[in-house]
Amino acid sequence: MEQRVFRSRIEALRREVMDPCGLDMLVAYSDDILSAGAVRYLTDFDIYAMYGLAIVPRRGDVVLAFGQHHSAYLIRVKQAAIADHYAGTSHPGELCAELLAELRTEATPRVGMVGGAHMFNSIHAELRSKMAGASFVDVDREFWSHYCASLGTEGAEPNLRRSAVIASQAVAHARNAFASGQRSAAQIAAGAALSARRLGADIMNRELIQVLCASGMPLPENLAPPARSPLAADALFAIEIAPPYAGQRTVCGRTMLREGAAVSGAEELSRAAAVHASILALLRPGTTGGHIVGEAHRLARAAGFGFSETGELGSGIGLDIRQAPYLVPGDATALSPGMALAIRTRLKSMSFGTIHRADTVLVAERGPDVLTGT
Amino acid sequence: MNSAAVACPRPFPDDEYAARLARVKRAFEPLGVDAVLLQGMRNWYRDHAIRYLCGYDSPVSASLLFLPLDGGEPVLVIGDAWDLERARACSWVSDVRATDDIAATTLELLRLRFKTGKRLGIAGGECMGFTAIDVLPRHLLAAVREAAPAAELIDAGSALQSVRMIRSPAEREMLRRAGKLADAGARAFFATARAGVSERDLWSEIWYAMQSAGAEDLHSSLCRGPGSFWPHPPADDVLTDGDIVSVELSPRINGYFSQANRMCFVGGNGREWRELERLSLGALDLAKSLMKPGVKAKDVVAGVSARVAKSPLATMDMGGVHRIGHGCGIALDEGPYLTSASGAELRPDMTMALHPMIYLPYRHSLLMIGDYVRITETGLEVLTEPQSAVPVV
Repeated sequence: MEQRVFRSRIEALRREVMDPCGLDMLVAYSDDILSAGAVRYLTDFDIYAMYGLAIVPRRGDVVLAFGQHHSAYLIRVKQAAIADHYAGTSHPGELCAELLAELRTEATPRVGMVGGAHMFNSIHAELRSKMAGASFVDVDREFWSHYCASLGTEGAEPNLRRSAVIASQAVAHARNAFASGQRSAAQIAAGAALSARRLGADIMNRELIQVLCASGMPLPENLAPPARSPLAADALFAIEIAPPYAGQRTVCGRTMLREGAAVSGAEELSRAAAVHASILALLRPGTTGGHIVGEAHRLARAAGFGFSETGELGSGIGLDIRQAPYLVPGDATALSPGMALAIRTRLKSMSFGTIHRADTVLVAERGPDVLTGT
Repeated sequence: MNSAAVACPRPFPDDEYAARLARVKRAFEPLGVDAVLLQGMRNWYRDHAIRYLCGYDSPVSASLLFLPLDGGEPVLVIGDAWDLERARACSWVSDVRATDDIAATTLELLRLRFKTGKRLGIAGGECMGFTAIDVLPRHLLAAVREAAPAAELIDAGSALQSVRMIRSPAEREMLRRAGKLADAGARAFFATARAGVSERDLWSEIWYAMQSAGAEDLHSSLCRGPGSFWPHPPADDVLTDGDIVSVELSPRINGYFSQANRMCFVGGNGREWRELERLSLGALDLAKSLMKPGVKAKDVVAGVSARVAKSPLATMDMGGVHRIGHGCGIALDEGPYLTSASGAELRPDMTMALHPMIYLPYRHSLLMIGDYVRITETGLEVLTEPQSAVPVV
């Protein structure tokens, strides 16, 4: 992240979240490298070293605290992230208290937390203890609303688009591998992930690219981590790939059948793709999640498909693989421009089982912008 | 339930898990706990407790295992409804539940099943000096406190770890497979490393080789110096003439890690490289010869340090601690720790990543060659194919 973008994000956070909420300090937390969330957005830190805490006082230095196994971690964190000060520590409470004291607040200081519900309770207890005079409030909802509204203006959208290109290309790679007779879902997934990395997907100590698959005839309702067992010649194969790029993740998923397979299914898969495209077209500003789910059911039935009743049709995506809003029956959240959504359509076919298709859509003023097309 | 219908055949037979559970329950007895709550997290592979006891891999969300010690049925709670069928197939636990709100489910579960409990053990997720109780997320701790306000929370993570660091015959077989995956990664490393190749491309080829050979996940880091003295994640920087490149290859299969460290020199000075080759391979060979049952970890470290200290080029003192490896298996990095401060005694069927870390102050670089090893009744079994020379690429 460029210094300019960092400063711009921090100032926008102070202006649009901290001031309206009356916060003297905002503390963003994550300990999951697959969901670095607000810490990634604010400091570009990828949660390499155990946990990350982005500490933003009302004014003054922004501090990034992180778990440190060895002082060498500091070198890597400075290379990967941006902040005014970096602190490798298992005890960030003292530092937070120091920053709060520097503000010389007259009234009871107010500390907002993002991701605080999942915070190590030892860290949470220490924050409470060291800032004993402060009041604490969770501001996840306010932060994520701000994030959605800022996506296009604060430098995140290009990364989201690049992630989508990588996801689409990786699915295309998987399709070719499947067509050319790769023997197992694990082999196909390995090639798709390699393709994603070559195109620039984020890399770290462990695999960051999430790949889920299903195979069989009929195809099961749920995807799972790729299996090493051989694929049957006439099996359908479904794959969903979610590669991160500069911390922004998208998802692309397709169901495929080998050419020349004894079972003919191209027409049914095309019909399913058309239903999915119609569902994506519903993602417009002002439309509610509940309405979209209801319409998706109607579109599926009209095309002769059943609709999976379990789980959700989609959710927000970006810094996390799954984040608000959640598209479930009855959801009253109205979509707004700047939201990025992962839509996972699971259409039930009498002959094929569940046909899976997933895409990432950016809600724009003019309507849905489908980022992952293949 | 037909476990063949989903993509997670149970990695071990049920009697293996039954034996583990019996050993673990015996280890919990001195703690006087009524039940144990085990957590499985993702970052840094903090899923080890649940994987060890029931096989479930927590692929996307956190999971919990409630284990009553009064003979009642355990409960596995997972965070992904879509993975419920697979979780039931992966695990021997008959009561598997999916939830969108793991804190609310924990609250409900403890209210029903821990009504009269006084001491609740907490295990799983511990790492890097944090205990299992430390890392229990705030919302879960709040649920525990609400359900059982008077209960005393007891750290049960250490007791669990003391059991699982001794590998069963079935685990040893799995770890031999994991060792072969690291060998596949090592071959890709030597085939790919050369001047001009980026760390990203090197890592990608290594991972692809290990994944194609059957690895489900991995941990990988590297040093590339001068200027790089601690293993770090790959970046976009390229290998350059004069670099010492060492990679740490930790593939995982069915939850089990192995670890091998491989090293090469890029271009540069042949005479210096030969001296560093003798130093690094000699230190590893010496460590292997010293590792046997009954020996204390710090004594092995002292022997290796004394050898390295004879070189005018190198030291093993990195921040006051000398390191030659650590336990490695269902967790990537676990006890016993092979450091100058560790009084742990080596015991048969411990498995370890053995990799003396040798610092070169004059280059600000690290030498690190290592193998995955098992302590036998008399000495050592090496589970990865040893590196016999350090090539110049």
